[in-house]
Amino acid sequence: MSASQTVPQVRPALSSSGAGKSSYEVIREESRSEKARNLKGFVTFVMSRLVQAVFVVWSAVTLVFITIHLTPGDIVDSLLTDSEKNNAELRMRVIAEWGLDKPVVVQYFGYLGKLLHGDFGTSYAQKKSVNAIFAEQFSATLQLTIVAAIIAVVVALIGSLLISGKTNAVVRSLYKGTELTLLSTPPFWFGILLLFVFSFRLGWFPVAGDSSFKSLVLPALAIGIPMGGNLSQILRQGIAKSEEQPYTLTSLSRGLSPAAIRLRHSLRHASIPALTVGGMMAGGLLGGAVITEQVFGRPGLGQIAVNAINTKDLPVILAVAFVSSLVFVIASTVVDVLYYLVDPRLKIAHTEE
Amino acid sequence: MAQNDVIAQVRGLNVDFGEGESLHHVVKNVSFTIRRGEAVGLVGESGSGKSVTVRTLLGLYADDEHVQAEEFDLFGESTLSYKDKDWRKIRGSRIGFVLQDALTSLDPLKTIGYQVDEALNAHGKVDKKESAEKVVELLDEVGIPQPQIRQNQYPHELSGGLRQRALIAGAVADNPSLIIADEPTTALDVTVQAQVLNLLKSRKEDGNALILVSHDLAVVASVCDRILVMKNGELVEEGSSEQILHHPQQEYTKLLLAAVPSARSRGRRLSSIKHEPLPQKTIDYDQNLLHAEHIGKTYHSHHGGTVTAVQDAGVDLYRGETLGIVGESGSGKSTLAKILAGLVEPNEGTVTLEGEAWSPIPERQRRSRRQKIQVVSQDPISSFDPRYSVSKIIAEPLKVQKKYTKDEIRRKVDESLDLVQLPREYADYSPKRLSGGQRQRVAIARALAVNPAVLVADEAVSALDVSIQAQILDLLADIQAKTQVGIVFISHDLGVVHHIADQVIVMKDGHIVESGDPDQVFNKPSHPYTKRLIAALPTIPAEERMPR
Repeated sequence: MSASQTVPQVRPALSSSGAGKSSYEVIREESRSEKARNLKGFVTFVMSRLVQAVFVVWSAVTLVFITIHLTPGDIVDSLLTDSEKNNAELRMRVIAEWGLDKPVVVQYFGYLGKLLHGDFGTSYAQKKSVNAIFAEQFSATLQLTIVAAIIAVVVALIGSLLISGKTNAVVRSLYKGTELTLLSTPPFWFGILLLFVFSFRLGWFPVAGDSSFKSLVLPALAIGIPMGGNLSQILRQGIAKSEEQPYTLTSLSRGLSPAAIRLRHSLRHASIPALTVGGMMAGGLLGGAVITEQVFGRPGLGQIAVNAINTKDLPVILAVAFVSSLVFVIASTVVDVLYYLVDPRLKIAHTEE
Repeated sequence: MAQNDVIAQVRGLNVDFGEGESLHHVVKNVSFTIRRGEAVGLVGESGSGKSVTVRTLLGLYADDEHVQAEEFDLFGESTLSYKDKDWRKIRGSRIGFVLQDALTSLDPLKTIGYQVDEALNAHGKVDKKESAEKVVELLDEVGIPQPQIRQNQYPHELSGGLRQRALIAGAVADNPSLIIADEPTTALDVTVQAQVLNLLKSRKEDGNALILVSHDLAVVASVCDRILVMKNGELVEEGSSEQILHHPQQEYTKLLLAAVPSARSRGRRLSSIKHEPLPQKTIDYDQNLLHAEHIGKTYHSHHGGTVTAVQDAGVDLYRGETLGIVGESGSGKSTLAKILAGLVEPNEGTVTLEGEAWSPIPERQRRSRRQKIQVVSQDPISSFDPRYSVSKIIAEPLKVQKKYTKDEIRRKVDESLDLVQLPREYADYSPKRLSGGQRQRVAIARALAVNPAVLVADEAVSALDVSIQAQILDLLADIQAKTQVGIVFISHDLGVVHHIADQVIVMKDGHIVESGDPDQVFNKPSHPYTKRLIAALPTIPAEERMPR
């Protein structure tokens, strides 16, 4: 008997309860119905993404529309040559022809209406359909960005998988240095360097144009390698972090080789942050392409955008805004779907929405 | 005993970390032998070097780790010149390894089937079909129901117990003769812990050896034949479980044993071998601090249904009293604690604090009385702003009240530090410089600085080593005797609750299944669930542990 126990006074009874059925059993169901739920969750997720995409693209287009109308300068000027500008009659006619005499709101909704039918209107400067201009030029940009993205992923994978905490310290710091230099080099500057060495000095690749696959190599490297450096850094850090986790110790204790652990476990964990950054990069890839296209004198979205802004070519500018916002939305949606595939823990989070 | 019975023969093991100035000598001149068919417990507190010691048996070292030994034989072969390639042949196939908390020790991105299969194929490929069958067989062997379905599940989809079994299934996949389990049950509920310990025991009965590393003497005692006690990197005592538990030779072992809270330690100090009585406490049954009735709380689950976290729960706490709430994870005990603390609004029922309405009422009416009830949680460091000094941490709730001058706050901080028996100099320290036990003292000091009527301790000692836990439990008793604060003590550890509580509530699936005097509830449980809990609890079978 312990000395400090209080003399047991009469303690009022607890106002307690009766027993009931376990409500927790509700959440422990069979895995089959869980799969159905996951699928349902996935469909809801895709639907909500579609709505989001429409909203994002609409806001981008609307914002650009408002901005252009707020900036000084008359849109009609971009429709006329210098000699025509003083011809008042011609001016009136052009205004009526392009519908610029109508209130801005009407013009705006007219534009949206056409957009719904996939019609981007007619370029003021080039006097031809924007759809046609894009059809000609967009594929060049698409080619460039896809090849660049592939180069980036290959560079990142090779770098991050080969370099580990156990690599020779000199090699490792050399690699880290290169990586840092690459990711902090602007693509256009890197492009100029590549041009200097491989086109002017060695003459292996053409200086400009998009005549052949050969002409794609240098601009794609100029964009892809700095991006690869960035991704490689993130992957490497992710792998290092993953290799500190207890599950890596478990794998080691089962006799797995470090290489197997890295390929089967760590890389997958590291790819989660890499996906986040990769998604943002993919969205920004078009922007990067604009400048690189200028450096290499390639046709593409870059050329179109720069020319359109210089000439206040509203339909083209709007189309560029449309396409780039769409690319952003697609990139972030793809990343989210990939998250979903890489990390099974998210499945529950999505169904919770 | 025959020579080929020896699995591991280690003599003069030394392990250092770092170099030059930052060199830490973590394992000092440790020698031991492990034989087939025996279960050996390795006991010690965090930082005692026990985990580092067992990992040397697998050749698992950190990059800056240096291992030396006079003799280090595994399966009759010296491993002193082993390269990583040689170690890999032993890992998994001859020595299996089980870590604590399978949620982090299994790869969260891979199914459990994949991970068992991987362990199975780590040493040369097994035929694909054969290996698929073997995975199901292994999962079945460790007691995972419906292994066909479960093998495709990810660790987070399984309960803690099943996860730990899956981890064990991987460790035994290649049928190793020695299993090393490093705190394998630390994160588990008692009933699940009992199942996992039984599983490990059955491996031993099959003629394999087992090393069980734990800070919990009761767990080790329930499984092992022999116990090694480590402290600060040294092996301080070694002997049969019988001998260590009932006739410990070393002061340190005695201290460890004394620190284990249980029914027998009620009303006595845990942090000393002599078990001096704790100061007299008085409970004033005329002063009700907390009164809750018909408390219900449901959450919406992620597929439309509702989950009842607490249902029809009633609680009474009186001045100077400690109310223990025990239950396993998911029992709703933490939700109930949050409702009592006014941090979660109940859907049903009411709570009164010192006779006045407390919940559910608008937060604006409650805020001025918030200091009356304070919470101490399991992990103090995450409840501190890392940039604050200890004094700033303790002063914060005082400043909120805007009624104290700077000098008064300073004085109150000093008083709180005195109350939790920390030196006043610690006021200027960053919490990062403090040990786990000291941090928990700071958390208690912060809670007490505002003179609360009620202290809610939610698993407040669960993350601490047994000797530190003993000090904190003693401290709470001292404080209660001095201030007559009412304590709501939530824990999954029945021993701790039996030691400290004046009144106990057992929760399961949101319901209070049993309540009353702890001796009554724990010694003569009436509800089958309580009976199961008590039966599953590993205890040290020792009348000898009574104070002389």
